[in-house]
Amino acid sequence: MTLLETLQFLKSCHRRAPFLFFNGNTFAEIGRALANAIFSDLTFHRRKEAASAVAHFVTGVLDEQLMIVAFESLSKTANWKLGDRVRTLRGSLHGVIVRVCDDGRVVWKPDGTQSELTAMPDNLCADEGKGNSKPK
Amino acid sequence: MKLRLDLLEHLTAADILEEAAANQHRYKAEPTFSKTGTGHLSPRSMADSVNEAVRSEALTQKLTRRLQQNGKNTARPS
Repeated sequence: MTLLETLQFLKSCHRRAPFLFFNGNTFAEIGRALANAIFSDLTFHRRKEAASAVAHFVTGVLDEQLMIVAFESLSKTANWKLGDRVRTLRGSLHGVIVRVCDDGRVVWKPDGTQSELTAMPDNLCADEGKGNSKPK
Repeated sequence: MKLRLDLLEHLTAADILEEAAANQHRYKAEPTFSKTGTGHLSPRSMADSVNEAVRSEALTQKLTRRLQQNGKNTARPS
């Protein structure tokens, strides 16, 4: 049985709603625990997002394809350089890298703002929605 | 990235139950006579996030220990 089939099975259990009041706390949490074990190689923040994606898929609020895209994105590590397009792990902010510090942290500027944010490299994902552009 | 199926093999139902029980307080069921099976997941508090980090790390270490233990046991000549 593949990982996707397992998660689809959990989702089908959730949809059958065997418990009277609430089912998410059973099946989503099983999925979350499986994800925590199977994605142990990811850093904590990435693992947390992967587990969250699983829980949302099992409860039917995240599309299967979006979950797969999330896994693919979270499993990629990047060697960031100036001008790379990035986004936060949840995709709530998109922007561009303006500086890479000597200690490995990256400074990036979210789109539409002049502010700069500093992040650990593992806490950013490549933003493949838009082409790379050098900052002005 | 490698999927850690080796660790997954050492995950037991008791581990899953323990992890699920630790997160139950975030689930808010909304039982009514006409509508059942509904509810919502409340956002993580700061304490939840800290606790989740600790639990996640502990689970990984526990599974790794079991894996190593199992490796030792299987390596031993019978």
